[in-house]
Parts: sequence; C-alpha cells; structure tokens
Amino acid sequence: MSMTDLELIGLTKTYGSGAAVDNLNLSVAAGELVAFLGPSGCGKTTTLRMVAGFVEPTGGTIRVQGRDITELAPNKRDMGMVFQSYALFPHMTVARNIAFGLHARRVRRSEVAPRVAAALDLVGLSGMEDRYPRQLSGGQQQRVALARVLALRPKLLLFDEPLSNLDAKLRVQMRHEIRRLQKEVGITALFVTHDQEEAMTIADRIVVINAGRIEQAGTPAEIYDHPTTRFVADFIGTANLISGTVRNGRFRSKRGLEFPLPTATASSIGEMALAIRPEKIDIAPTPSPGQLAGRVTRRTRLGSVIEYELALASGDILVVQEQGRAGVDQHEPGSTVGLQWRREDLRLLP
Amino acid sequence: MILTFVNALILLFLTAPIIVVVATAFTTTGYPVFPPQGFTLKWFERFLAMPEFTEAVRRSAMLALASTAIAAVLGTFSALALARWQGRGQKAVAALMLSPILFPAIVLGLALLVFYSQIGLAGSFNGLIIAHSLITTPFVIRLVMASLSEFDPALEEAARNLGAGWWRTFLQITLPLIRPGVLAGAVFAFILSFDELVVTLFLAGPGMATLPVRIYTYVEYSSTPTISAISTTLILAWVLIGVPVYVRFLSIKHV
Repeated sequence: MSMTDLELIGLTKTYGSGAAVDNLNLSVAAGELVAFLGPSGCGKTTTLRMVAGFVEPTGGTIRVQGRDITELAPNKRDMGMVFQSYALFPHMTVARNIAFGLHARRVRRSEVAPRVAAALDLVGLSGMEDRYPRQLSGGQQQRVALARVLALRPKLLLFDEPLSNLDAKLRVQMRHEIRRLQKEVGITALFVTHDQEEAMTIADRIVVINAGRIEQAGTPAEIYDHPTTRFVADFIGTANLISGTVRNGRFRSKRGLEFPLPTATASSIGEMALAIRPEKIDIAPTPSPGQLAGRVTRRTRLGSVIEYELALASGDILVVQEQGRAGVDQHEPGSTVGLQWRREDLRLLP
Repeated sequence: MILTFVNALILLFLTAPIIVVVATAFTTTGYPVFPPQGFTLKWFERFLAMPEFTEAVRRSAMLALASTAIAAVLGTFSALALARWQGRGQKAVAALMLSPILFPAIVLGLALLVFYSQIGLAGSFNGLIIAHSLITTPFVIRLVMASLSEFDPALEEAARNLGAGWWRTFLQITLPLIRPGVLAGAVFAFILSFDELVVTLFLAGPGMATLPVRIYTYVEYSSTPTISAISTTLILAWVLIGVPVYVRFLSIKHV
C-alpha cells in the first residue's frame, strides 16, 4: 500500500439547514489522480474548495501528508488549483502569471526565470512568455494555468472542472495531456467534473458523489462494471433499471416480468433494482421460441452506435445499443425482435 | 442623420453656458455681456491680484485633495466589503452607505453643524475635510462597485492559492484591476469637493472660505467679469489636467 497523501475525515459542510457535504471520508494515495464525479450541486466542488481552504468546513478534518491543515489559510497550503475560468491575471504577461506564485513563495530571484521557462516547456508553450492571456486561445490559457501551478511543485493539484470551457475536440485532447503531465510530475491530484467520460479517461479512481455523500469509490472499470447503487448505475453511462422484488431465487419486476437472478448474487429479499447496460443486450431479428420478445418503438443513431427502445409484452421498456457497422441488420421501428443477454451482465442493486 | 442632428443640439445645449462664460471673461465692459465687446485680459489680472481668491483656490484644492484621499481609501474598502458580503442585510447596508447621495445638502449641513458643535469640531478645517469625505465617499463606493461587478473573484482565490497573502493579493491583483473605478471615483470626489458650497457654508469657520463660498459671497455685491475670468481659469484647468487623466485612465477603450 502506497503512502497516503490526502485524508478527508468526516468532512462536513452545512449551509443553513441542509448539508452540502455530509460526513465525507476519503484517503488518496501519493501520486494518485482521483476524480470527484457527480451532478451539479452534489457537493463535489464544495469539497474541493474545502481542501483548497476557500470554504471553511463545518466539521471534520483535512490531512495532507499526515499534517492537519483544516485551519490553515489558503496561501499556506501549498496546493495548486486550476480553475474553471482559468483565473489568469489579465494584466500580467504569461511569464509574470507564472512567476507570481514563485515570488509569493519567496523563491530566489535567480531561480524564478529558469522555473518559469521550465514550466512553459512542460506544457509546450515556450516562446509565449510575453503574451497576455487575452492573446491566447482557450486551450493555451488552460496550459498557462497548468504551468502556473506546476512551476510551484505543490503538494497537491486541484482541478475544478478545468475543461468545461473548451470545445469538444480540445477537451478530449487536454484530458490525456493533463493525465500525462500529472503522472510525469507525480503530484497527487483531485479532479472535479460532472462529465463521466472525462472522469473515466483521466482518473485512477473515481469517487461518485451524490447529495453530499460518496455513493461509490473505485477504479473506472469497477464503477462501470460493478455499480453498487442505482444512482451510480444510472449516472455512469446508461443503464436499464427495472425495479421489482426477489422471491424464490427469481427476480420479478413490478409489471410481472420474471428473470433468473445474476450469478454470484447474495439471496437478498425485498425491493431491488435489476440493472443491465444497453450494449450488453443482443438483438435477434426474430424471436426464437421461448426467447424474450420486444417491439421496436424508437431507433436513434448516436454516431457509431444505434440505440433502440424496445417495449416488452409486460410493459417494461429496455434501451439497447448496437454497433452500427455495415452489414449489421438494422431493426425497423414497429418490428418485433428477440432479446438475450448473459446472466452475469445483470446487476442486482439495493 | 437625425441622430447626428440631435447630438449636435444636445452638445450645443450642454456647452452654451460654458461658451457664454468663457466669452464674457474677455469683455472690456465692467459687467458680463454676450457677445463680449472688445478683448482684454484685465479680469484675469484682477483675479490673480485678489489674495482672498488665490488663497481660496489654494484652500479648496487642499480640502479637495485631503477629502478625496480619504474618500478613495474608505470608498474602495467599503465597496470591496459590500461586494464580497453574500449574507443577509447586504442590500440594506449598501443602500445605507450610499444614502448621503440622496440626502439634501442643506439638511446634511445643518445636521453636521449641530453635531460638530457638540463634539467641538465646528469651524475647524479638519471638520470640513471630514464633511467633504462624507459627501464624496458614496460616489467612490458606487464606481468601485461597478468595477468589481466585472471582476472575477476566482482571480483573488487563484492569487491566494498561489501563496499570496491578503495584502499582496490586494496590491498586485485586485487594485490594478479595479483601478479604473477607483480613479473615476477619485476624480468625481475631487470635483464634488472642489465645487461644494452648501455644506461648506454651514461649517466653514472665519477665514476659512473655500473658492465656491468666496464666489458666492462675491457675486452678492459685485457683478464684474472677474467671476467669468475665475470660471474660465477653472475650465482651462479641467481641460489641461482633467481631460487627459480621463482619456488615459477612464476611457472605455482602456478598460
């Protein structure tokens, strides 16, 4: 087990009567990149701002490398934050933006220029020293914001939805860039996002947050393939969620549809939800005898994938996705098709 | 076309009094007439030869500088506090702090006179400075708040995050970026103070007449073009000093 760099212990923030962050516990290992993922208002940004020192926690402790920093002023925390708006100083050149933190931390003058140059080199912006932020593209501004914090070699990197202002192509490119840089400098990082694809690409570990609480924490694969709550199954990717009850070793939906239970499921009783990912369902052009049948009620082309909405005889609705390759049959709306899946792709969720 | 015409009319309407005042300063007649008759600079010589006027200009300038400095500092920090304050009551306190703008000057003058008599500030120059700061601070608050509304608070957080203390953040990040508002407020405060008559009439002690007070008392018993000459000098000073400052720091292009 690697060393723990950041620990959040019982971290809580209440505004008025409601809790924005509710008793949050998390350990982040040295060098790890952890993404906070959740819908807007779930408390992920508040948590990040408590770590940065901009929001005072109502309760709980923040430890960095074993030291309690809960009460420390933001300028004494030695963290580098990249803001959603980049927050570059508009009246300073790129070089002065990067040097600002070095001067504030009383780095020797002779050392400032080389470190500014090194940071710019790291993000591939050498030669841009004398430009002003407004003369740079969004992507370049983003890189300057990164260089500005990397030049300080902080204990912790904090990213507050840093890619949400970039266009789609650049956003995807910067994900890989940020991950590469973070691994290169080896600094522990927290990355706040509401974009699940972004979290999946960038993070070593994803912490799914909902209503101020951690729903699930795990690697991107764990989160996607083994969601432990309905919220996670529904929020990460898409999932068909069918609520019902477990009785006599079988799952029975509210509308009366029966399924065999997934393998390796504890024999839980009571209200449950059955989840299956749309791409884990196979469609046959015509249902074979005894197979579950559904009528195509909608067909949508999502880039490389074709999505079908199928109505089952019971009234349950399933969403199914298929690769739209040439030679693969497309199913006409109105036609009746057969459905099947592997039992181990079903998840039974509380 | 129509707009150009309307603009020309408005410009004429606004500048007509100035044109008349400037023109009458050069008349050879013993009273202001428009159009002026002949050309002379003797009214300017007369103005400069009257120590009660030159002394009043100096006093007004001192008073305006001192009260502007106080108003600029107090107004800037008040605006910062008001802009940062998210809690309940923010609107009420903001309205209260801006209320001297809406207060009739004559009421304010009377109130201050009564108050100053109680605390022993009546008739003192310091009392005048305080009174003028009181009148001008709300304008600084207003203009700095306008500047702050375009200021991204994340910039201050970024500075703090990069390791800057409160003071370094203010001097190197916040102040340079709200400078147009602070300067506009200071220019406004200076003009208001230099021009202030009503409150000053109540509070000025003997031998403490400011230029507006001096002019006011002078026109009561005299109507020579000396007054026009004084006004023309002030207009010239504004054109030579005020306009360049305005263009350099406050024009929309520069912000």
